[in-house]
Amino acid sequence: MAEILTDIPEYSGNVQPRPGERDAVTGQLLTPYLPSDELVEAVNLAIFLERPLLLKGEPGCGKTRLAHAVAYELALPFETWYVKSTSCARDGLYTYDAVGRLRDAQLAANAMLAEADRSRIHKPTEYIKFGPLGRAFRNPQRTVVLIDEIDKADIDFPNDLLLELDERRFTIDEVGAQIQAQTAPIVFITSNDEKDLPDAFLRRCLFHYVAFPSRQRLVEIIQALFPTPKYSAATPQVVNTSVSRFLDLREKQQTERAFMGKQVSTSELVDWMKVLLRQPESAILQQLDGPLPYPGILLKSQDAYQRYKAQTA
Amino acid sequence: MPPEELPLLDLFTQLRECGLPLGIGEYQLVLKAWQAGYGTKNRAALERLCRTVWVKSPEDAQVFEVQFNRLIQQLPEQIAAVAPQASSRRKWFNFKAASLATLGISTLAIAAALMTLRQDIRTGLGRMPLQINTQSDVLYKAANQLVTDNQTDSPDNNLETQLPVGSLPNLSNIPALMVVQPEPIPWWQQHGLAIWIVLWLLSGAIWGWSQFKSSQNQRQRSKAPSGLTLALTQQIRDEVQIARLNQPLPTGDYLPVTQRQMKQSWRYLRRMVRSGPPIELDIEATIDDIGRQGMLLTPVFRPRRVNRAEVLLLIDQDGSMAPFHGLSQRLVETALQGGQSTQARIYYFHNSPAQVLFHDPYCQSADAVDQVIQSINSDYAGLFIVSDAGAAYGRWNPGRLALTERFLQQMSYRVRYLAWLNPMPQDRWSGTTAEAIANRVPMFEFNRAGLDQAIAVLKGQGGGYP
Repeated sequence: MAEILTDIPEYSGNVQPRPGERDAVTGQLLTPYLPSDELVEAVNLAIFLERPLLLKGEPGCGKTRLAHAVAYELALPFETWYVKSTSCARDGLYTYDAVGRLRDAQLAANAMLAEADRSRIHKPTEYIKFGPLGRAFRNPQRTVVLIDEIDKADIDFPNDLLLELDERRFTIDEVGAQIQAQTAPIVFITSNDEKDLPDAFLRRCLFHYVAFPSRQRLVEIIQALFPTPKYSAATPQVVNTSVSRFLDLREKQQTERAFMGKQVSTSELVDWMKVLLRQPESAILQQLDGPLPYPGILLKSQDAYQRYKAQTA
Repeated sequence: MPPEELPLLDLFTQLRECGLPLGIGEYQLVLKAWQAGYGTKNRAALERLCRTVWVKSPEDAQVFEVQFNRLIQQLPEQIAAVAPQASSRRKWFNFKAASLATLGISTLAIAAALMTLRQDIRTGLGRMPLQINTQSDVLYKAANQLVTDNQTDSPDNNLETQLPVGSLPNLSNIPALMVVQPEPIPWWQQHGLAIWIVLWLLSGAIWGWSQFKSSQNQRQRSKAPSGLTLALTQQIRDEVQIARLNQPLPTGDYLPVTQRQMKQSWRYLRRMVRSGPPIELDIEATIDDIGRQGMLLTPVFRPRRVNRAEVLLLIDQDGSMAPFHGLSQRLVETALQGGQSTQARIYYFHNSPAQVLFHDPYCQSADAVDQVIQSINSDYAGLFIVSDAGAAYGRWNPGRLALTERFLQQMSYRVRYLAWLNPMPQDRWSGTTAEAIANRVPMFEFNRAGLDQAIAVLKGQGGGYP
C-alpha cells in the first residue's frame, strides 16, 4: 500500500515552462498556467482517487489549459480527445478499419497485394486503431487524458463511457481482446454546460467549477504571460490599469442589461493585452484613459458594441 | 482521529435526500481521501474535499454549503471543537440538576404526604368511635322509634330492641374523653395536606421550567443557519429541494415535478431515425454486396441515426391557469435546454386553442394555426398541451369543448401524436369540460407519473392521434 501511495504524482501548479519553450510533440508554444489552490487540490484528489475530474466554468477560464499544465508539470504523456457532435464513445477507445481489411482481402484474392502485406490479412489486430483513451489505457506509463467539451456529443455519449472510466478496461469486439489499463490515467473532462450530463456519469466524476480569477490572480496571470524584459511595456502600472478597465467592463456585463451576453473572460483579457502591449507604455496608458481600445476583442455582439459606443460617446 | 467521529454520514445522507446523484462509493471515496490525509487540515479543507467529491454542479454546491454549515459546525480536532462537547456536558448537567431537584422535592412531598397520612391514621383511630357513636346515635333514635312502634305491635320484640339501648350510654362517653384531652399536633402535621400540595406544585413548576429552557435552547440552535438559507431560497429554482431542507417555500407555486425530474422525462422523448447524408459504413450490407458481386466494388454507406422527434408545446396562459405559470414555465425551460436534441417549439393560448397561437406568454405576437401546421418539419411531431381544460372553474362549457375539438381536428392533419397534461388533480375533472376532453384525448395529471406517461404517448407508445 505504501508503495502505491508514494507512486502517486502530486501536482503543485508551481512548475511553469520557460519563456519560449515549445511542446516536444506538437511544437506549440507553452505558456504559464496559474491555477487556484482549490483547483490544485481538486486535481490531486482526482489523481489519488483515480476518478475523472469534471471541469465546468465560463468559456475561456482555462478549463482545457489545465490538462496541458498538469501533463507538463508531471512530465507525463498527454492524450486529447476533442469531442464532436457526431462522436461516439467507441471512437475514443478504438476504431476498426473494416474497409481496409476488405480492401486487402480483395487485393490478395487478385494477387495484387505485396507479399509483405499479405500476412496482415490473417491478423485482425493489425486493423485496429486506438483512440486517445485506448492509447492511455495501453500505455504502461500514467497518461493525462483530456476529454474536451463532452457536452457537445449525444446525450448517450457519457453513459457509454461509464464502464471504461469506472473499471478502466474495454473489449475490442472485432477481435475479442480485452484491454485493461495498468495504471489509472489522469482524466480531465470539460463541459460548457450546453447540455446536462446524466446523473450516472456525474456520480463517477469529481467536479470542480473553475471560478473566474480574482483581481490579484489576474494581474499575476498577465505578469506571468507577459514578462517585463520581453514585453517592455508591461509595467505594473499598465497591467493594473488594463486589468481594472477589463474588470469594469465585466462588472457592467453582469449588472447592466445592455451588455448581457457572453461575459469577457481570462482568455479575452490575454488576447486584449497581447494587442495592447505592442505599443509603448505611455501610448497604452493614454488609450486606456479614453474609450475602450480594441472593443472587438472584448465585445462579442453587434448589439453590445453599439450600446457600448452609445454609452461612452 | 477516525472519520467515523465526524457527522459525514449524516451530511452524505442529507445530500442524497436533497437529490444529489451520490452512491455509497462516493462516501467511501471521501473516507479514503480522508485517511490519506486530504481535507484533514481544517474545516475549510474538509469542505473542499467533500465538495469536490460530492458536488456535481454549481446548483448542488449551494445545497451542499447549507447542509455542510448546518451539520458540521466544528471540527472535533480543533480548539473550538471542545465547545460542543462542553456545551453538551452542560446541557446534560442542567438536565440532571432539574431532574434531581424535581426528584428531591417529590420525595419531600411524598414524605409529607406519608406523615399526614400517619397522623390521620393515628387520630382516625381515636375518631372512629365518635363516628360510630354518631352513627349509633341515629341508630339509637331509629331503634327507639322502632321500639316504640313495635311495642304497640308485639311485646316479644322488646328484649331484642332493649339490648343496644343498654350499651349506648358507654359508647357515647368515649368521644367526650377524646375532645377533652387532645394531643399537641406539630405544624407540619397540622398542615400536611397543604405542604403536600405546595411541594407537588413546586416540583411540577421546576420540571416545566427546565423543559421550557431546553426547548428554547433547541429553537435557538435550529435558528442559526437561517441567514444562509434565505439567500439559498432566492437562488435555487428547485423548490422541492428547499422543501427537503426543511425551509418554507418562497413562493406559493404548485410544483409537483422538480426540474431535474422534468429533464429526465424529456430525455425519453426521442425518435432515432436514419436520415441525412450517407456517411456511416454499413459493414453487413457491404459484405452482402461482395457476396453477390464476387468482389468489393464500393462500400455501402448509410445515414446516421438522428433524433427526429419534434414537439409542439402548447401552454394555456392566464385565467384559471395563473397558479400554474411557474410550473408550465419550468416545463418550457426544461424542454428548451434540457439537453436533449428534440426540437421543441412553444406556443401559448388562452383557455382553449383557437385559430391563433401566441409566441409569447403575454399573448402579443401570434401565428395562425395554418402557419403553425405548415412549419412542422418532422413526420413524428407530437402535440403537447398543458391546460386545466376547465377543471379549475369546475363548470361545463360546451363552447370551450367545441373550440378545442375543432382545433384538435385541424392539427390532426399534420401531427401524429397528442398528449394533454392537466395541472388539476384528476378527481376534479369529473363533470367539467376536462372530463369530456379526457374522454377523447389522452389526458394525464401533471405529476411525475403523468408526465412520463404523456411523453410515452408522444413517442408513439399507446396509440397515435385520436
